[in-house]
Amino acid sequence: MFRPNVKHTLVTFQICPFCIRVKAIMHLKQIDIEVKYIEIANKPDWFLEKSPLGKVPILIIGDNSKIIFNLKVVLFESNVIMEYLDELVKPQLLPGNPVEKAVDRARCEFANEVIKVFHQFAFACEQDKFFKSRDLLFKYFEKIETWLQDGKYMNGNDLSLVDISYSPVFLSLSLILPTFNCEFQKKLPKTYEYCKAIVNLPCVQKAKRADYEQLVLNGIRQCNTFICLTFFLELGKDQLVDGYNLRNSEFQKQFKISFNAASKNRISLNRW
Amino acid sequence: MSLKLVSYNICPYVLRVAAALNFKQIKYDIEFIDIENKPEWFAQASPLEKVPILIVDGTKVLFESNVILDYIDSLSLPSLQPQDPFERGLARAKQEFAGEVPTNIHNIIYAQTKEKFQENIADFNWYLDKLSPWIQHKFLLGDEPRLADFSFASIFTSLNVIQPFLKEDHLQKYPNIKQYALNLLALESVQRAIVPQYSELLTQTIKTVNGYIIRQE
Repeated sequence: MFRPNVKHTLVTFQICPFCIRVKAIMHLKQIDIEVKYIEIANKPDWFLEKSPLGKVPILIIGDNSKIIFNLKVVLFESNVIMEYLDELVKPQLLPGNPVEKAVDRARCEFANEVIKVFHQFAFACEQDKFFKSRDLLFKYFEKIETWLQDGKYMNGNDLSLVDISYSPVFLSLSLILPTFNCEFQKKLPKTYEYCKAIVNLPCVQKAKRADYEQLVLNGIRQCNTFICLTFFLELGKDQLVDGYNLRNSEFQKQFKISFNAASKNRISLNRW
Repeated sequence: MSLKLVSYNICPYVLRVAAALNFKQIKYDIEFIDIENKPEWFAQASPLEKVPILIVDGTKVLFESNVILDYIDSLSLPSLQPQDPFERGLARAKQEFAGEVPTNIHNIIYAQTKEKFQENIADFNWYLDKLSPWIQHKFLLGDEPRLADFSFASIFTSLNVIQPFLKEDHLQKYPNIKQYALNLLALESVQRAIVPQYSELLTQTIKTVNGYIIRQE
C-alpha cells in the first residue's frame, strides 16, 4: 500500500461513473486514499465552495478534519486526478512517447463523452431523445472497435490509463446488454470482448460498491425512463414499480410515448 | 515534423492551441473548415467531429484541445507546465475549468428565452467567482504565461465581442480578472492566433442567432 506523505481524500457520489475510474486507479496502484461520499441531491455547502465546477470527483490533499479546505489543495476533473495518481506510483499507465501519450489521453477524453451520452441514454424520458442517444452511443462504440487491436486491452496485453477510463462505460454496458435482444457481440466483437476484460479487472470490481448494479437500476426506475419501459417489456411485465401501469394513458401522455412504440423498442437495440 | 491544425475561424478551442504554438515558436500549417458543412475526411478523422484536431506528420490525428496543448508543450523546452505532479495536476484542472467557459458563452449567445439567458449569465458569474482567487499575479502562475493561461485567452477574446450586447460589465467586480484579460490579450502570440475578421464574424453569428441577448430590453 502506498501512503502519500499528505492525507488524500476523494469526494464522490455513490454511483458516479467518473469517480469509479479514480477508485479503480487507487485500487490498481494500491494508494491509500480515504473515500468520502456525499449526496448528489444534497451537496454540502463546503463542497460547492471548494469544487470549482460543483462536480465530483474532487481530490482533497491535506488534512480534512477542518471544515474549510484551502482551494489550493483541491484537484478536480477525473482525468486530471487519474493522471496525478498515475504519476504518484510507478510504473505509469501512460506511454512515455509524446505522440502515443497524446493519442491515449485523447482516447481518455473521448471516454468522458461516451459516459455522458450513456447517461443521456439511460435517463432519457422521451423517445426521440432515447433513440438519438442510442444511435450516438453505438457510433461511439463503432469508433472504439476501430481502435482495438490484438491483445486483451486497448494497447495490447498491458493495461493502460485508457482501459481504466472506459471502466464505467463497460460496467453500464454489461448491465444492460443481457436484457436486450441485440446483435452487439456479432457487430462489435472486439468491443464485446474488451467489455468483459475491463469489467473483470479486480481493480474495477473493487472500485464499485457491491450493490452498484442495484443502485443504478433503482436510479433509472425512479426516473421512469424510456429504457426502464424496455426492461419491463422484456421481462413480460406491464406493471412497473410504484404502481405505474404501462397501459395507462396518463402515464403514456406523461412520457410522450405510445405503448406500441415502446413494444417496438423491444427490438430497437437490434440496431446495435 | 509537420503539424497541421484543423480549425474553424472563431473557434475558442482552436485559438488556445494556436496561441500556444505561436508562443512556443513552433511552425504549423492551418486549415480552416466550414463547421456547418464538415468535409467527409474530417468526420472520419475527428472522433467527436470537433475542432481543433492536430495532424502530426500527415498520419497521427490528435484531438481534444487540452491534449493537444500538452503535446505541443512536449515539443520544445522550456516546458510551460509545472514540474511538481500536484502543481501540474492543478494547472491541468484549471485548463479543464477554462474549457467549460466557452461553452457557457456559447449558451449565452444562443439562449432564446429570458430564463435560459439569465441561467447562463448566472453560470458565467459563478465561473468568474471561482477564477478570481486564482489570479494573484500577472498570469496564473507568476509573471510569465504558462500553458493554462492560453486556455483562458479565448474566454476574453469572445467576451470583448459580446460585451456591447450585455447590460452589465461582469468583470467590474473583479479588477484582477480584468487586468489578467488585458495581460493575455496583450500577448503577441494570442493576437496572432485571432483571425483578422474575428470580431465581425462573431458579431455576425450573434446577430444571426438572434437570441435573447439581442432582444433584451
